[in-house]
Amino acid sequence: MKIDGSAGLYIHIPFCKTKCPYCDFYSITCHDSLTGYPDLLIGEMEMYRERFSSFDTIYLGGGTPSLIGGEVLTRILEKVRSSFHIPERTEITVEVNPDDVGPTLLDAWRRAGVNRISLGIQSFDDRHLEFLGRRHDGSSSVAAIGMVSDTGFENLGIDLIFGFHGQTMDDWRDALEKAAGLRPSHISCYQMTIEKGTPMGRMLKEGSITSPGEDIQHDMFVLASEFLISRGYLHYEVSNFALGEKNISRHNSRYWNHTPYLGLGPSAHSFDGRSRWWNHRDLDLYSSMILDGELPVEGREDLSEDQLRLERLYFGFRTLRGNDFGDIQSGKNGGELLEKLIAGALVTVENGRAIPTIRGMLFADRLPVMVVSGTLSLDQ
Amino acid sequence: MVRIKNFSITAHIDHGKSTLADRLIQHSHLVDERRFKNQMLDTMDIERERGITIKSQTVCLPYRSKAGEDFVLNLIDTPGHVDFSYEVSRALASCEGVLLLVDASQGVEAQTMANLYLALEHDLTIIPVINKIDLPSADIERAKEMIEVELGLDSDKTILCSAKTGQGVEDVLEAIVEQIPDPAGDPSAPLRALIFDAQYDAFRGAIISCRVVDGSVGPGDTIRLMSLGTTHKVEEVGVFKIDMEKRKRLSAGEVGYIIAGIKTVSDTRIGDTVVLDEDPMPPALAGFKEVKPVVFSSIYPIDSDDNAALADALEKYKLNDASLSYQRDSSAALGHGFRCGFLGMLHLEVFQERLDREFNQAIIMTAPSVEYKFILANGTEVEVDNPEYYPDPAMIVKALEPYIKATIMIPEKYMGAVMQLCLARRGVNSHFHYPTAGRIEVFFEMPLAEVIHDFYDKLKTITQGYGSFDYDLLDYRQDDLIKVDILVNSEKVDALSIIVHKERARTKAKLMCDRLREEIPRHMFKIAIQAAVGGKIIARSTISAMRKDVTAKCYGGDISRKRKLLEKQAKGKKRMKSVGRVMIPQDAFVAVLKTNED
Repeated sequence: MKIDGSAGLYIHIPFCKTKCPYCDFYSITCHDSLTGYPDLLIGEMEMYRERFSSFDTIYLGGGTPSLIGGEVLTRILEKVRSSFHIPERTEITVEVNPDDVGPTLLDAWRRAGVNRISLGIQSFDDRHLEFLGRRHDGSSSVAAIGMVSDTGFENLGIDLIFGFHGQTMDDWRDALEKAAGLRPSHISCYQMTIEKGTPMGRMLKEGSITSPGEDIQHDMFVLASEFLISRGYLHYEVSNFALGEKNISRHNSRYWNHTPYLGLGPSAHSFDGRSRWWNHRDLDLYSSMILDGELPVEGREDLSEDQLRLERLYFGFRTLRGNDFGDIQSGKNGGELLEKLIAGALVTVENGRAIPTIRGMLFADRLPVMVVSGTLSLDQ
Repeated sequence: MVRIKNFSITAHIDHGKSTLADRLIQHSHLVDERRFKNQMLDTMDIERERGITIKSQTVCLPYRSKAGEDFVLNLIDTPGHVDFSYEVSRALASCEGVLLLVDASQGVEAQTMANLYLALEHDLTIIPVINKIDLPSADIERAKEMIEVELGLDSDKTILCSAKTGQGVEDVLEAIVEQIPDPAGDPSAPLRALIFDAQYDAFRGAIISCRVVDGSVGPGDTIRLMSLGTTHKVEEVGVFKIDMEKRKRLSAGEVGYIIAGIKTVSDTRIGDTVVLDEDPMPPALAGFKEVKPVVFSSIYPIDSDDNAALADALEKYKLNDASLSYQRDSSAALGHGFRCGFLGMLHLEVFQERLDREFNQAIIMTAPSVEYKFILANGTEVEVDNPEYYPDPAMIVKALEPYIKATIMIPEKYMGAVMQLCLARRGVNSHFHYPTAGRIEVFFEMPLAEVIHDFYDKLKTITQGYGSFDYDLLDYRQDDLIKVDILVNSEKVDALSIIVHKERARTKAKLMCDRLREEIPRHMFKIAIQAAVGGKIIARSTISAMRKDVTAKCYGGDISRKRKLLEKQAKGKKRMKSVGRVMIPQDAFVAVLKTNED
């Protein structure tokens, strides 16, 4: 299907200096193929010239995109510009590791057109950063934020993690205070999710670490929301806060608004409004397929109307965009459901849409199941 | 005159019984290859899935021996579980011989021994067959030695075969015709036929499977079922050749079917003797007994509107399963339902599964109970198979519960573990002996209530599958029995009540509370689960309130995976029954008694 209008472009950089013990994104620590990688991306990009014409958000994620120097990034973005239409106000984000940040690199990126930085701060506490297996410490977290602002990036997002082994409520409050005090335009607060198969997954299984438990994680979530809202941030997605609507991540909103995006690089996912497809999660295989002139696609799915609705509902309960009444009411017990959601303080009604409350967001994984199965209680 | 051989195949689980039966069927060319499927005689889905036989099947195989003589070989396939042991005993009583199958790499195992005893009890000719000789791990010499030493059989007569490849199958057939005696019986004597099974057919009613011992029977005869005293006019007789094949008469020695306008299988009794109404009453065949249910459980439709549909399904189910008993029942927590009686736990599980699959009935099943007896102050005796009807404790003079004699056969090294298990289940008066070196046969007297839930599974686990178990009902004995109630958020769930020995009450109650904590999903509010005797709380557990259910990250690569999870949740929403505001999953009612206490 040919995409009319603008889409989002995601570029995956699957390299890391070290692997964080909780991370299950695809990345490798062997960098032998780093130099040849941009050519592969460019090769893949070429293959999509027929289907995509324009991108108005570009996001380099990873992995660790900051391992790519200014020159290489410039080359990749120039290729994007020469192959597709890139409007002037395109949001171009790069994920950055605090200890990779330096004035030279930042300046080079800025000149390449990058206008939004997403910093993987995670914490300001040395002990926590060590536990999380990060390469930086608390003071470099603060320094990095300063440096990014000093280089003239107005749009700066930082990531924080909460609800992990050893972190107390007070620790989390301190982290939020510090973060809000530095006034980044965007803050993401991710609850620690320990996946099986990661080093932390194994530690949890062995019992060498524990999870602080649902009650504390709940309280931390609510604290983050209430505190950041009190400091002027908009809680616009379960884990995301922006200093006003203009600072909402436009690229990430594409995922949540069901608008098209193209993902390049191993493990990257793409969506055209009806189908989703994803690349092989293996750099060698990805590389050999590109070199053979083949799309490195591992699988695809064509979404049915019901599946699209389920996804819309899911995103709707996670974001301030909320849900269309029609999506809630079109199934079994539809009318009654909406009343129940309102009565249960799970949604409020604004401009003909059902907007999740904090409480609604806290049960965002349950609400869509409740709606599509037509059950009237969260307990079923 | 074509000679007849009646036999059964018996084996430890997975030693290849069904495969050998399949091979014998193929050898006789009864079915063409296109219609053939594996486990030919196990016709129910649940039999094929679990690899077990629940219902007896008979097949009549024509065979011409190497010497050129024609035979009819009647293979009677029997269930292999203790719940159906009476059915098995009647099927074996219809045979003259048995193939005792031994896996060439596994050798003699627990069930092989138990089967040998069963065959000896019925005076059957035993032909040892070593199967799976094609396997690289096959150790034929060792298997022969075990047959000689452990089973005490002549290993020179052992037949070697591979049911899988077909190798040696001819030898098996030859051994059957050479070694198994022809059926005795007098074709000119008055008719006596042994009923060993009955199946329901929507058009013909009950189809009786029987072995004609004396005399003969054919269409037009009026038969009498001795134990019931009912008479029926025979419409058709014949033999099973996978499909039914009509005959003019069935005579002494033959195995086949009788159709006589009998409405349902409940109008017949397994083990009963069929005679001709016109004959002066000949002596009944030995071994008949009325099979009584020993395990009771109540069933309720998940949706109370489905009560009529459930009643209808039970009626239909009963057409083909005479051993099921049921009557109307109701529960304050679960509404209207039925109290059902079963031969044992496998029978109960099969019932539940078939009701779901074949009759599309999703039900709640309560914790199984045995039948207790109470002598009351006014001198009356009441029988109680439902804890709901436990009498007023102040009125109870004496409480009695059924005891069984358990027979357990195990390799010697598991003796310690088995003793421990039986003692924990209130076993008494144990004794044991060594049938052969290294093997022990242990006897225990135990309350039936202690074995119905998971005793067999536990025994299998602690003996790594080598333990075999059988039991006979003994008598009722006095015990200190009390009722434990379960309260969910202060509301009594009558369907979860149990009757239990006083000394075991607290432990059992704690386990039930803990188990329910696992089974009941978290709700938006806190749930207290309490166990009470009378008004006194003896155990409790708490399910904390659900505070949140939300995934932290959801970006491009997470969406499909997450959606699939949600789809699964929406589709596989557990079947729940609401008690007050609390939703209790269907499985919890039975699972609550499956404990890991031992």
